[in-house]
Amino acid sequence: MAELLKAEGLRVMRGKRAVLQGVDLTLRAGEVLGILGPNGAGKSTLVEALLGLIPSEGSVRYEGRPIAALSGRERAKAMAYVPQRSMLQAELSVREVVGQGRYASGGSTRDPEVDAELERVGLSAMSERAFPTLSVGEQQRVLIARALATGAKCLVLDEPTAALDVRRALETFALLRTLADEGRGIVVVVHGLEEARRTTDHLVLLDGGEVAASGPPSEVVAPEPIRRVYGVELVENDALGFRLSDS
Amino acid sequence: MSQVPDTRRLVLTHVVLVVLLAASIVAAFTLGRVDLEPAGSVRDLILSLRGARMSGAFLAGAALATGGVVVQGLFRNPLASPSILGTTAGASFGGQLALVVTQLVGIRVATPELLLPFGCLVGALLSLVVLLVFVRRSTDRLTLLLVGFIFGSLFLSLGGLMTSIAQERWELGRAVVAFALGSLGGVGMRQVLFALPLVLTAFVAAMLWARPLDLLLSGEREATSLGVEVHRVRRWCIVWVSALVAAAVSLAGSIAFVGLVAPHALRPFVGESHRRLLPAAALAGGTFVIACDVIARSLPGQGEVPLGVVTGLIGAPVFLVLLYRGRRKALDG
Repeated sequence: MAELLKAEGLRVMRGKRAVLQGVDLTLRAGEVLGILGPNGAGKSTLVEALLGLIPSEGSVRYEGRPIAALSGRERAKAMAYVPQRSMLQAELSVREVVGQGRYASGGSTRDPEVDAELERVGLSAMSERAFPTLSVGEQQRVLIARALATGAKCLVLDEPTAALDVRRALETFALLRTLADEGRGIVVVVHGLEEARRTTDHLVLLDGGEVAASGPPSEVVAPEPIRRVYGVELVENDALGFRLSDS
Repeated sequence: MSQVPDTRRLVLTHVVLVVLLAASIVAAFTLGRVDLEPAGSVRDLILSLRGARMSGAFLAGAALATGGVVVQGLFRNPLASPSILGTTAGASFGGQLALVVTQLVGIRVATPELLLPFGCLVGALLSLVVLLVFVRRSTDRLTLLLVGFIFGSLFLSLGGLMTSIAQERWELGRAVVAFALGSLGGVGMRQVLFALPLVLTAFVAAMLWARPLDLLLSGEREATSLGVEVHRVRRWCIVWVSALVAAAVSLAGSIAFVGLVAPHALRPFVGESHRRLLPAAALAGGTFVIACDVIARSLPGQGEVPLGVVTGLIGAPVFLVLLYRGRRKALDG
């Protein structure tokens, strides 16, 4: 499948300390790429560097073009960001927040894309509600709808399920799979090992700002890398599992 | 508020604002210490003077309220106002310097009444340029706030120095103090026409930047990811705010609370979107200053009560009530 995003030798300095070093990754269209690692491993920093939100060394290319060569609007139309929690506290309506995704294209909150993405995440009936009054799960869906409204082929999500209950988390990953099946590329920071193995096509395991393992989920969430990075033993076939009900 | 204000509420709010503006205009023309003669040249002269003063009051209030909305959006802080950038103090110092230099040094110019607004504009731009030089390499808002605060304090001290120097001449000292306390006493149509293009240009610019300001409400990181060039928006917004403050200070001197109260009072009725909030706040700010000026020149006493005193005496408790109501609503969920 076509290569959407490619990072090579990515390095981020904080003062004189490298918080991210020598990171290589490739995201293809139709793929869900998971970023995994313990606290402080550099997952959010990697997301910010991929999006060009922080200065970095090395190269990040979107469809072969260096992202540094893209204007702010071009970048926004190529790669959409879904933060773990939005900083938005102002009482903008759900429609207005989703409409923000149309800014880079010069569109407005009345664009059909806004209605379509509201419908997709099941929030059409709440379009006039004030964003801060929604539950955390609903806010997360609004942020995903806003990202989709940009029309970007690549979605980058920072721990989208961190504050969600099991059902909402499963629904979110089901939505990400649908989006990937439609041809988008998804980069998602995941916290849970079981979740990472079950929901992604490719995993990058970070440790201390460096790639500790990279490959298919079954090879990354495996006894040896998990012992090395987390210092715990992986117990196979002894974990609880969940899936969405058919009804 | 679980729902953002709908169209009906927006229309109703604007109708109320227009009615209040109309009432304040009528009051501005009819109320004052001098009774209106039935007809004649004296009546026409008084009406003309009151008309210019009322226009100046509206422009000053609209400019400060617009500046308040922009600064609050820029800093994602509803307690911010143009004064935190040091621009108000800079404009005020520029105006005081213009008064003192022209009177004490004895500079003769063709249009002395334009020296004050010119001084305010130079002062506001000077404070802006100094601010931009200092924050050029900085990306965070806190540095901008701190530098703005420091330069605001510096310009206030320089303004105090001007007040002190001006005491050499009684009339000059009185004029400088009146300017510092806020007054529309000397405003004529020339000053209004000087300030009008500044206010109009900056207001239209603020409206054109309403969308990125909305996006900035989500924080700089999210706004950048959505395509907003944050540094560019910030720099241009500072320019527009400076122009608005310079125009307002040149007309009315230093008057407080307008940039805080007007946006705060309007948010529950028009919502947070800058496209809706900017015109409503401008209308409310203009109306508020006209009403305060009517009170300032109608209260009994030897001379006029300074406009800044009236806006402060009304604005502070109103702002406290708005804050208390907002906090109670937040606690009630």
